Amino acid sequence: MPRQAFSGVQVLLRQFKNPIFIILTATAVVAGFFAELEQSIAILTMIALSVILGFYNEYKAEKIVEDLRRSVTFKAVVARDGKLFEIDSRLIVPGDSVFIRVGDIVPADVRIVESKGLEVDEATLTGESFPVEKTSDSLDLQHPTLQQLTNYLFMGTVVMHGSARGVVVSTGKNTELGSISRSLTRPHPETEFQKGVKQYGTMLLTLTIALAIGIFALNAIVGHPLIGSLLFSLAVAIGLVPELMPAIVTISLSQGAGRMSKVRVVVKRLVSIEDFGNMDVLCTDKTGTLTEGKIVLSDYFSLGEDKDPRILTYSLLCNAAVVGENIAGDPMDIAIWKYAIEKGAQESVKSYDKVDYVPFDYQRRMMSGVFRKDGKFTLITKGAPESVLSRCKYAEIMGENEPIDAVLKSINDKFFNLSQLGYRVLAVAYRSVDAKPSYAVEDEADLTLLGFVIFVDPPKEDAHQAVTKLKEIGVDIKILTGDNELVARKICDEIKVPVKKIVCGSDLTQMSSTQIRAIVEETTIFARVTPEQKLDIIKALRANGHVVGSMGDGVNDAPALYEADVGISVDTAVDVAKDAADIVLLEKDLLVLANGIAEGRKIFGNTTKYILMGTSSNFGNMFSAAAASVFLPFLPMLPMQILFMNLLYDVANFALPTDNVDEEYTKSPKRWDIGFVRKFTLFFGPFSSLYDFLTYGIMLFIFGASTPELAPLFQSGWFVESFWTEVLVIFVIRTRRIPFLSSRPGKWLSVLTLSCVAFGTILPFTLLGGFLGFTALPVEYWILLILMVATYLLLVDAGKVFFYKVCKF
Amino acid sequence: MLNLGLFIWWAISISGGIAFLILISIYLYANSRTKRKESILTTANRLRLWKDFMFVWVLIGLLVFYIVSVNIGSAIIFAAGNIIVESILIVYLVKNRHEKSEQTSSRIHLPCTLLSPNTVNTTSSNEHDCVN
Repeated sequence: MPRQAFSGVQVLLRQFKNPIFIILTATAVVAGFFAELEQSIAILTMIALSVILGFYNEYKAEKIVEDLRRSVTFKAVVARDGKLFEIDSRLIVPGDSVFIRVGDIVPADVRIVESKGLEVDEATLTGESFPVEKTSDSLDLQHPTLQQLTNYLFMGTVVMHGSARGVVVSTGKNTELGSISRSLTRPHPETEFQKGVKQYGTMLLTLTIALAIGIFALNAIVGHPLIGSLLFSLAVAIGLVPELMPAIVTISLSQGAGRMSKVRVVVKRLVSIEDFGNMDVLCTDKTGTLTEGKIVLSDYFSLGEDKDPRILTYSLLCNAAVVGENIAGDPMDIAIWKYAIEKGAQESVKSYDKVDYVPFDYQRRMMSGVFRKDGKFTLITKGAPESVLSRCKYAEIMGENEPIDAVLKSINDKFFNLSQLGYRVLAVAYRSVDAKPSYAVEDEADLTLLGFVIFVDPPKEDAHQAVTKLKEIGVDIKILTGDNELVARKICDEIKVPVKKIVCGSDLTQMSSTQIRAIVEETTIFARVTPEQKLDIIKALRANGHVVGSMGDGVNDAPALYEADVGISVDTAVDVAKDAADIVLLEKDLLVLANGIAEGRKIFGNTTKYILMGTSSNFGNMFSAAAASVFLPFLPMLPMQILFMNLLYDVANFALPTDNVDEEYTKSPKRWDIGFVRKFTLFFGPFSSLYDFLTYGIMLFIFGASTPELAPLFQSGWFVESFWTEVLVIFVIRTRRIPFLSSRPGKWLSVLTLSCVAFGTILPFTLLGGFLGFTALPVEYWILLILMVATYLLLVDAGKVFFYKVCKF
Repeated sequence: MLNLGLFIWWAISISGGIAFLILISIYLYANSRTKRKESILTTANRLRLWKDFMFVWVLIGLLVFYIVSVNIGSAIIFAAGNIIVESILIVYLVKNRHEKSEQTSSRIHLPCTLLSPNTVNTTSSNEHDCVN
């Protein structure tokens, strides 16, 4: 399937689209134009370094994600050399005979050879929102449009009903979809985090523009040279903007995605990671998550005391599994085949000829087939007991047909008892039909109930542990199942999941959306729900303010996966479910999910750290620079010095995505809150300014650097102090623990940050420092600096005690 | 030789920074009290107010000390004063260490969705969590 492949050129171009690049280039041009050649060269060098740094990191990040995406494969059933194989759909070639069934994303352009009840969603290709009917009938058209080609299936379209067999005519770029180069992926709405980051960007941009204009105007008013003031105000603006944020977010997300893949969680849509971590309600199905998902046919029985072998034969006949080298298809159909093979009963179907069939759908919850034996035609129906029973007129008991009403109570009792014991039950019914070219849903009437097949799907051994773990990390579980409430209840009892309330699909149909919003909070099990009802439940939970995750693997789960904040599927799911999902689990296991959520929270935590640091220390430093530029007879720092400090600070921050996150932080869902970021900036920003002002005082009044001749000494002193405080405060702000030393930072963060501090410290003594306009600082200054920075870090830590008491996040 | 005009500008700037920080602290504190619907004026709260604003008192003390020491122009006084302030802050942080970790652990096990109305009423920090 064509997907927007990532390219190195695009990643490189993205670096130039950054507004900071534009501001920096403008600054370099302005400097060069006004004969500030040294500054111009320095700025251009920094631009080049920034671009290389950003490109290298983003390219690496995109590569990780691309590899992960590739690991999610789509399967197709093909016939080769007379045998059926389930293969990776990318390996299909023209001429292959493919089998298509409900839920498949068509893997290539296919000419239909045989079909039944086939309806396809072609919205990806044609924009048509309703499913279109497809047949194998020949067409006599001169220049047909795509819509007129009803005997073709097109790559990327989704099979909504029925099934088909066809021959592949083109693949990949040669398909209709490939030729128009459209992405198959539907656009997802913006995540809460994306919206939050946008809000933050707007807030900062406003602040930056206001500050830049203000600084320029004030400097001009007090009589500083105009060009110098302009360059300085531009540099301060650059210093304020967290230009690394897109890169940090991408790296953070992609590295997190890499780590998540190690716990068998594949991230398909990178931005969904944050919502994944912040999810507080998980809507999941039962099979494979709470249960083993290995459905086994336990037994079959008639309504009398005998055990009619026709029940098994009919179940094999009325069966959608594709039997080849492997058996593929619906788990219950597979279980029937496996049971029959084990008992040597598979040969019983050979005396029947298939005439026609009516495929399964989630509204009827059953399927039918018409078979001929000895010249007689029999319609066989298999499905959910309540659906099949409602279409039965008789029940066959010991070879005699009894009116269904006479035995309905005992049948219902039996069904109730089996369900209470945790069995999943399918009813098998039949009737003689007249020969006709094709059969439809209307023929499923006046049936004779023959018996039941019962299946067992034992609960997972670690299901209780997984549910408990999810509860502990603040994720509430809601079970949305197509099964009846008794089976769902039984499983919950076995794995000790407290059930607050059970609501059935039939109850939901009578409720308004307001009523649904009220009951979703207290309900644990939603039984016998349709795909539309799953959607309603998720909408109601989202409307109630929850971040909702939806987990499913069937075609009926796809709408819910799209609607939820985070769609979660499994590698073994039908194509359409995998395509709809943001996250794909390589193992359908809630413990895997719980580990993934914790990882998502770490990523959110590290991204938030960068934002909080950027806003507090950067803001503080730039604010004090602005204030000083007004009362000092020279610039407190040269534009290229500010830009260099900014670059060095960016390098220190690159290891932030690898930082450790305190365990307690990952124990509860977090929500993006721009109000909190604002408060954080307003509170912690002035701390940084305060120590900048103090440094000014020391440089001016203790070391006497108050004249333009001694400006390099002043600028060097402030550069080192500003850089130390800006970088070292990372260790204080990265944790809520008091004192900050009780939280261990990540190894790479420590190494990179301290290396940058060391580099910033020796810089004034180097040739590069001389080029940038720095000068060596006296020993006394270093002693005062160490004491002053220590006080600053302790004061910020003390400020945290107060701040987190009054502001929670 | 102290440049008086420059010194006044500097003193105003640093005082302005601290005043801004104190005003923000008061705003945040009052804001959180309003959300908790607590009165600031009770006798018990006065003591708590004093304790909660401990770092503000440190800030004011620091401001006076910094202005004086810079005015004198003595690196030794400046260094000694810093060491005293650091000692005070370390004691304050050590005292708050235990209280903070308890607060965090009681909060983390009670996500919004699982809180009962009673819990919300009795634990104001949780109420605030839901708002966020």
